[in-house]
Amino acid sequence: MERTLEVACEGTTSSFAVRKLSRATLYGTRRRVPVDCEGRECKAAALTRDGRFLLPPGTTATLYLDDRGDAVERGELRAAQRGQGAASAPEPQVAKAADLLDCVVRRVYGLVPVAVSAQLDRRLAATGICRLEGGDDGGEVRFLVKNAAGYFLMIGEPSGFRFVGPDQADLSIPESDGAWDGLDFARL
Amino acid sequence: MSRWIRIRDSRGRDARVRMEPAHRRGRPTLQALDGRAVEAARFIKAPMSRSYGVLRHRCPDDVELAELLIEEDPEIDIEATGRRTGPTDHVLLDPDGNVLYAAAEIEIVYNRDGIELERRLPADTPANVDGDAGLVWTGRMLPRSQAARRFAYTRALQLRHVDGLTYDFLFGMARELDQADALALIGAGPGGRDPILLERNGVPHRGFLEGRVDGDCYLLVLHLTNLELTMPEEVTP
Repeated sequence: MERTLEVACEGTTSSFAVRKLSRATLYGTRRRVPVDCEGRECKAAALTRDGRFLLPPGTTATLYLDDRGDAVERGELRAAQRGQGAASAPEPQVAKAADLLDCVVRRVYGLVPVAVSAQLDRRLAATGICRLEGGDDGGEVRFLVKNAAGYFLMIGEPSGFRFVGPDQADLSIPESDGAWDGLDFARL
Repeated sequence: MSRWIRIRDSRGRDARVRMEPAHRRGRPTLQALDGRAVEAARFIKAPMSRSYGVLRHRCPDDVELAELLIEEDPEIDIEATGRRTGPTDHVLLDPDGNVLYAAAEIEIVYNRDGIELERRLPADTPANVDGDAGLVWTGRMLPRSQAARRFAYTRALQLRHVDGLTYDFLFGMARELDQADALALIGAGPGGRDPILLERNGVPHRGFLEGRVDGDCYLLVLHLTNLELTMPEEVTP
């Protein structure tokens, strides 16, 4: 079943068919796979720490258990609230390019317009970017973007970067990429 | 944890500074609808020795296999089924189900319809952000408003100074970009034509440098993208 996105704006509703965008769907993909000495593809499996059970894909199942040990159906779960967020505003808010650049994009969807209201298009005409309410309550932000190629939904997370001043040099210890064989203890 | 990056400015001067990735939040914690905390646990359905493939190998005849399943329940291992896996180790199995102790890799190329195009030996590609040449400006600038709507930036790194000289260097770069209200396309290799590889054999990205200043503070971010916001051909009108 095709997923749809509905956006309410000034008393009108616009709807879009949602298509996930990825490099694989746009350009194709490359995949590295392990092979045995005869060039046959191999698959990953799990081995229990006691070495008794070898578990290839399909031999295990994940259950969600509550504090009494009872299983909870996946459909009866929701994301835990991370603090009390602001009351959700149903209207998309005009956002600046910097607002979008302050986020790292995690998922991108192409939106095929089914019915787009003039009010939503007018709001998008300002910057081409509107912020939508919603997400998973865990800090996700959603942007509706319009460009020459069409409409897109971008879901991201705030990068959390802050301005730095002259007295805020990064003095963290750099990782060592050299081998530990040049200390020449014989000379000590 | 930050890492080193060597970068040149618009005048071709280079410096080695630190880059810090964006904080990545974990997956959201799940809870039941009434607020009860839940935890995910992995259980064994059946070990490999009871899998359909193994049983099929033991009993190639359909009727015999059906009788075996009804009479002996060979697919169920009383000791294993329903047991928590606990921590496990990652192993590789060949198509016969034997554990591999040394495995080679091949690279398979697929087109956008998922059809395999080519199999080849993977090339070993080193990272190129901290080499002798470093990352260079290509001379191409994209207005901030266009850059934000044209690409999906799936990684971001903040560039930070390590001393007074590198502060001046990075602050100058951020101010230049802020005044231009544009992002600079940067890349590796001669003229910045090569994509950026943060890790050895990592995913190649194009890099756009964004700068902002506020008083004597600056924010210089390298946005990385490998996805242009465009529609797949089948939905393009």
